[in-house]
Amino acid sequence: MNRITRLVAQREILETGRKKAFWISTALLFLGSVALMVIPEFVGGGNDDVTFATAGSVSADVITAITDTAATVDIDVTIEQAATVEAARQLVVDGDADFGLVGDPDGVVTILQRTDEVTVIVPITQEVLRRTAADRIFSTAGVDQAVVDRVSNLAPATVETVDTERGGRQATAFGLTIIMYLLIMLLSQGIATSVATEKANRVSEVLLAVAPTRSLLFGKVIGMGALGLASIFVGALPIIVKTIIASDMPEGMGTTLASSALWVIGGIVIYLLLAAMLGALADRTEEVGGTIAPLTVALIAIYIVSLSTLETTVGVVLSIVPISSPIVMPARIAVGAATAPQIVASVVCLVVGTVVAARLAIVVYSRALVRTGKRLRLMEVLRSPS
Amino acid sequence: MATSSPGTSHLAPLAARSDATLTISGLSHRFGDRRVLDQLDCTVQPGRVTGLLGPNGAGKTTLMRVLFGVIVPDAGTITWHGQPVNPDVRRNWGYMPQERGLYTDMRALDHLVWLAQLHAIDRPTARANAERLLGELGLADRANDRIRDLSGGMAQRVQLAAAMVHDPEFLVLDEPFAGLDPTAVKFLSGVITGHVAAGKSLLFSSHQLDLVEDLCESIVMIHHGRVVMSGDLVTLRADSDDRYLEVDAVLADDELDETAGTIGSVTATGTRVQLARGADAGDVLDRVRANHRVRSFAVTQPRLSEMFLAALGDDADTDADPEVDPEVDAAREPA
Repeated sequence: MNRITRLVAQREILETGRKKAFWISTALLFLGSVALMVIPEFVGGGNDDVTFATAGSVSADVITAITDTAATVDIDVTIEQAATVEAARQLVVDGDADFGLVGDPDGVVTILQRTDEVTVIVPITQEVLRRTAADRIFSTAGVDQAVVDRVSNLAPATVETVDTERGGRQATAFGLTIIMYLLIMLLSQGIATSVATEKANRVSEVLLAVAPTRSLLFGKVIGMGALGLASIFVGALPIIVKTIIASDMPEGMGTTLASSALWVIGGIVIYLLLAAMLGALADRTEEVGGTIAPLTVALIAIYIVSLSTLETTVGVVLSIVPISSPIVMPARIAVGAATAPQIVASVVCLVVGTVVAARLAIVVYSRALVRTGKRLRLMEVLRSPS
Repeated sequence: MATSSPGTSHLAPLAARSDATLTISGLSHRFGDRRVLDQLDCTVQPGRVTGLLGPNGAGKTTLMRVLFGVIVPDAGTITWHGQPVNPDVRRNWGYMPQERGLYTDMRALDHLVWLAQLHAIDRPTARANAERLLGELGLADRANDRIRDLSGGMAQRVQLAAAMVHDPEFLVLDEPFAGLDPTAVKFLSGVITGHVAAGKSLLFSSHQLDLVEDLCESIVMIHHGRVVMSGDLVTLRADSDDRYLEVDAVLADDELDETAGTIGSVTATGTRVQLARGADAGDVLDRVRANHRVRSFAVTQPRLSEMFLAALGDDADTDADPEVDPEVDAAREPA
């Protein structure tokens, strides 16, 4: 980095660091992240408590079996005896009991639940009732009790997870896509507004008189990019600390994050270059939204499409095209959908795309900055003499 | 020495001065199909205040942008001490654009230090220069204020300091007097004369010709991107047909020869003599005093605006076109 680029980047970092808005947004990001980590510990954490309202012919054995089985999955069962089946039903309807367990004179037990929400206690109760009924049938049929016990105690089939990292990787992919989208969107708008303000204030004219265009542009991109990454790091700090302290970082997250770094940095650079270029087309800062619209619309479209096409042919194409690969490729790597040739192609295209974006941005930036009086169109700037 | 463009045949074409620091030759530039600089030649000498004068849209700001490499001209050369201008040369120049040109969120001192560093000045020197300048410009107690919190006049002084913080050899000020009150004009004039008194070069632009005529030692008048008059102001005035000597004596029609001037009007109380081009008003007065008792006299010289209109001749359309790039309808020259 040359002296002028470094000075420009330093100014961006120092002056932005002095703005309350930067610290407020970073603090909000940090607090939001802390809340995300802490709140689940207080809300819905620990054992679940479930209250059953029972009525009719429900045996003590059944209740004991349900209570014992539920305890194995950290659910505490409380039984509330209702006078009648209707009373038990009313307790459930009123929310005084979570579930009802009512038996008819023939010994058939029905589970009552207020809504059709699926909870683990229902299949547990169903299994206990099925087993109890089976025991009764076996006993009536004169089956040896030892056989009955063996049947009752049959262990469920073992479940083996063959890809233990997939869950973590998918969560990481989802998180990366959102983070990259938000980060690029915020930084792009920030740098475009900054460039337009410098143009409107004629600061750019003073700077162009003393510094090469590429130094001004690259310094700004480096400064803004560094600030964006710093903000994200501050926001991610609570998550990192929690995963380190609790040692519960999802498997695969570390390698996914490491392998995504190239696209994160490349994506930030490409988008900041293009956003700075488009920001220079504005004559007033109020016009930035319009001049940068093609970039933001493309970004939103890429984000939406990528959510549902990660493991399709469209996803493959998006993960190679430089403008979309920073959003899509890290997620495809995370879910293990990217092949080695695709990754290589994506890297090559990303590098080439960055160089092309830099050259294009320098040309437009240097020409557009000194043309004031109205909002410029990209093509007319490209067609005009330098 | 004086020069002119077509239409001002009494002035000789420009030749590069040997003592010039800056020499501009054949500079031309178009915005689309509009020519904004047209074979422009001029020089700037050290130790002299040079005014780049002309109406709005004459091409002054474009010329300054070309000087600083912000715009690449279609044709022409610019040399500094005889050598082509490059970024290293420009690093020793200072530029103050007409419109703002400052980060309003930055503190004044920080801004000046940062700009000096861009000019390759080390940080301690930059800070010392900035503090000294702020003190000289009466802003020492506002050094740590954000520029947006300063008044317009103070902000303009910071802008001036920004152009001077690296102690430039050549200072270029674009319309520095626009919008200033008389006190600020006097203050800025002092800064300008102080800069050239140190033997350095200075070029400033103005469309307010009469406002700056007492400040300029050399002028470059341009119109439609062409030089219509340039040179030493005293010489240019001496070469004018529009100078008069008024005395409270009645002169005969043939009393003065043509090298001195011609009798313009004679009244019962005095005579108005139109001085000949190049004639010394003092010598003419002495000749009159040889035959008459003169108790009161006055020399009337043309104002810069009158000289400008005279130089334009038939081309004196006073409605100068705004400097607009027809292709992008932009790149206008600020008023």
